[in-house]
Amino acid sequence: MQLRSFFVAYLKSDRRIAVSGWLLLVLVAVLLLINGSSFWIYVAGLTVIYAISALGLDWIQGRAGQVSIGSAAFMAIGAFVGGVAYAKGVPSIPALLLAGVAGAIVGLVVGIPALRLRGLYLALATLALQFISVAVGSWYESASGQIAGVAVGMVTVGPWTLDAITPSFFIALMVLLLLVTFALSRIYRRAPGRAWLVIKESEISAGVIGINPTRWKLSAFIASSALIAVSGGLLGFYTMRVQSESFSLDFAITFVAMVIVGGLGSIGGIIAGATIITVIPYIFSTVTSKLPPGLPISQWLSTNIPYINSGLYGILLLAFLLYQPRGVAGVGIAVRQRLLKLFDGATAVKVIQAGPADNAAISPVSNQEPESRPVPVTTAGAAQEAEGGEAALLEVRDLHVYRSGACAVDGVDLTVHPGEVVAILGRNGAGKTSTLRGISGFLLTERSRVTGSVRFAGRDIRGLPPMATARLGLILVPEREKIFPNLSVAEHFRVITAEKSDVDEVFAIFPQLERRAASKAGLLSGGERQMLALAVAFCMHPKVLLVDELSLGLAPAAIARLTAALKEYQKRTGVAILLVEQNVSAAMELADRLYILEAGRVERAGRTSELSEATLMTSALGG
Amino acid sequence: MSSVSCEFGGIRAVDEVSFGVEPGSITGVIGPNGAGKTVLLNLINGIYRPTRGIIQIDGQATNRLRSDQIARLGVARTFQSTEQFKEFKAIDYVMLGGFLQQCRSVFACIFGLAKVAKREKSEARRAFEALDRFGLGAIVNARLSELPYGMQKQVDLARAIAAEPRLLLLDEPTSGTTSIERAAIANVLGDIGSSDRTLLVVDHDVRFLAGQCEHLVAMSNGRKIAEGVVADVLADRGVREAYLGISEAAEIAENEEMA
Repeated sequence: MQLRSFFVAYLKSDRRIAVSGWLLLVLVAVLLLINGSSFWIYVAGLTVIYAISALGLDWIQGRAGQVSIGSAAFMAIGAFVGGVAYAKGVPSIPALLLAGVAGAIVGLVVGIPALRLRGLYLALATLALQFISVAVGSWYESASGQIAGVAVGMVTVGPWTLDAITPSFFIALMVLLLLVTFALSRIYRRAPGRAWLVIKESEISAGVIGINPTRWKLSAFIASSALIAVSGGLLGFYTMRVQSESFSLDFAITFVAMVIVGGLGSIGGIIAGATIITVIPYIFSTVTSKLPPGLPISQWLSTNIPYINSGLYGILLLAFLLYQPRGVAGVGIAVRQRLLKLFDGATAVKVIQAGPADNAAISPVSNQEPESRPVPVTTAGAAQEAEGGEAALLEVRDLHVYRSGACAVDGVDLTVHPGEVVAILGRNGAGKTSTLRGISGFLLTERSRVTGSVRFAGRDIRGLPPMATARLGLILVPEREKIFPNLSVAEHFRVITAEKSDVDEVFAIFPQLERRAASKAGLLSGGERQMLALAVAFCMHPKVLLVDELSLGLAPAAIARLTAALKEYQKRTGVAILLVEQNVSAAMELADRLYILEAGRVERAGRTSELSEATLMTSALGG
Repeated sequence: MSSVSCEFGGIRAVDEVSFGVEPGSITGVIGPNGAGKTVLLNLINGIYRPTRGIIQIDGQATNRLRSDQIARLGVARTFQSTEQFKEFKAIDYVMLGGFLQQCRSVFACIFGLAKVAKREKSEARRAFEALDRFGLGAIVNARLSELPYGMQKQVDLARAIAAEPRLLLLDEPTSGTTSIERAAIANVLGDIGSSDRTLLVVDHDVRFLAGQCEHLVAMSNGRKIAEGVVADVLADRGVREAYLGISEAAEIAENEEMA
């Protein structure tokens, strides 16, 4: 038991995980030094240099959210400046520092114009820099008569001379990598890390908080460029030769592959990604070279190995983008959460629910509530029995929804009969939206788990994607992101290829929409957006209409108009409606039956006429 | 602010609006959807620039300032939705509130790491206290995406308060919250109101605003239709027609009179 609680505490602590990552890194290095051949130690040293470069790329891309493909260009700048400085007699360490300074200066020059603008300008600017730096490099090679590249000597640190043939260089690189990761994790954990994260998420909000987006992006880009340039300088010393043609666009893409496979924004992930991308080709070549020479395939493999290797990047990249966009780091996070749930299931689930409970304890409202708590009108089971005579159109049994490990819906049963309007009430976090999304299939796209049975018109639809449930006639009007802001109102109807007569009909219901048919939906007010979302749903001839928060954020007059329109439409078409609401009076106005959710379970259920508004207020919201 | 207008593609979202906010007061802004309330806040924040008119904060015109410069003048705000910050842990998000005090310039912030580190601990403590005020001490390490909507709003408010602003703008602090959360928000706002902070609150919940504010500004279709003491604004015919069901306004106005 003690062991278990120790393990849980370990899994919960970011710091302990990070320390064990470092220990693992050191362990691998020590094992390599003891057992590895000089070839593999050489490959490991190369991996460390690439990892430092990838960490530099992650600084601008994973932290500050700006896409850059300038890795090879900045490495070339660092390699040439470091190499040429060394050739001119500058000692190795100052030469490497010079490489970093040169990277920072070029970063400043490129970054100032490119980072004022949002979007892909930085990517384009770094792409241009790629071609310029290679051109300048090869010009220098031919102008100085060093066609085979600039020869670079060895790094000396105090009394030691580092030689890539002996393990000394590798040991020095490992120490450097540990220092870099240590420094980076400190910076990212503190105020600068928060500033970059805000900018990555939303530059507008960053400004409102008082963070100047341009300056902070520029600072990340300069730092990133300097670090990448130093790694380029190291590469020059490590391979003892700097050649412009080795810093190709392909080489730049390799680093993009590393940060994507590793996982943007995770130091451990980036190191893992750099290792995978660097080492795999060597492993592959080693394996093929060991195949018996008699086989026809080995002949083919040995001639085609370079192509296979570059194809491999593409496949890896695609596989991660499709199945694990957060890379190796994402896999790690998932494993960690799975383990936490396994060993600490109860508390992990309770995290979310602990909040509102504490909240209630300090709230003045809850203090006077307990004695006056009314007797439940009917239980969920009784309500369903009462409706038992008629076949249900939508029938949900024992629905559980887990969202990123936490249980949002904890065994909900509910039914909707043909022509019925049913509302789900409950406070925030009670699981209303999760229930609706669990039914419609939208949760599948959000890394969640849904169990239980969802039957629609006699067919089990649990696990079907939203496209399929929509085709069956189950249409969801979501809480947010319900419209396409860049399409006009009229275009919304064209997208779903609505019949002209249907469009005329919804325009008759919502004349306001007809007047704004040509405006972009993003310019509509909150009420008009809701009208548009409903109108589009109407045109799709739903059998069951699922509406999430009809009244959220709307003025009383707008709510009244929308409920009236929905009621009128329901009466005419006889469609079944399942609503999620926080606004008790709007729900009572519309619904025949109500379910009240509390902490992911049905607290009570019954006909609207049997539940007084006061009862609902206290039990649904006063909790 | 005086005669402020803002147009987007020919649509006038805010049309010749003028009003003043007294230091130390709480002013509410009401109006139906699409009245231009959020645009108004975005104008004060410098997210949009007025096409006409002048906005002054403490006598300084802010028309030409960037939003981060306006934030430095002591203006903080909450957002209608915190969806864009879902990656943040609650405590880190609230610590953004103290960011300006902690990091005056980019250079000092990155290279003065020892100093920043020293402030880091006190900032973390302050952030924890701000969350604790809402009874959210238990969720400091949860990511915003894991929290229910109402709690995200409270975390956002805690962040804005932690900035210790002179002018605090609240964009629909109660939308999507439950009555319990509303009470917690009202409590905290009451506390800040009694210190000498200035608040401008946009909300739909007229009862909530009536309980919090001394002044109300009513907007409709981008125009200001009424301004003044709460009871007077709610009694205004134009306001009732544009925004409220008549009965609700009458009821609230009556309650106000009785009080």
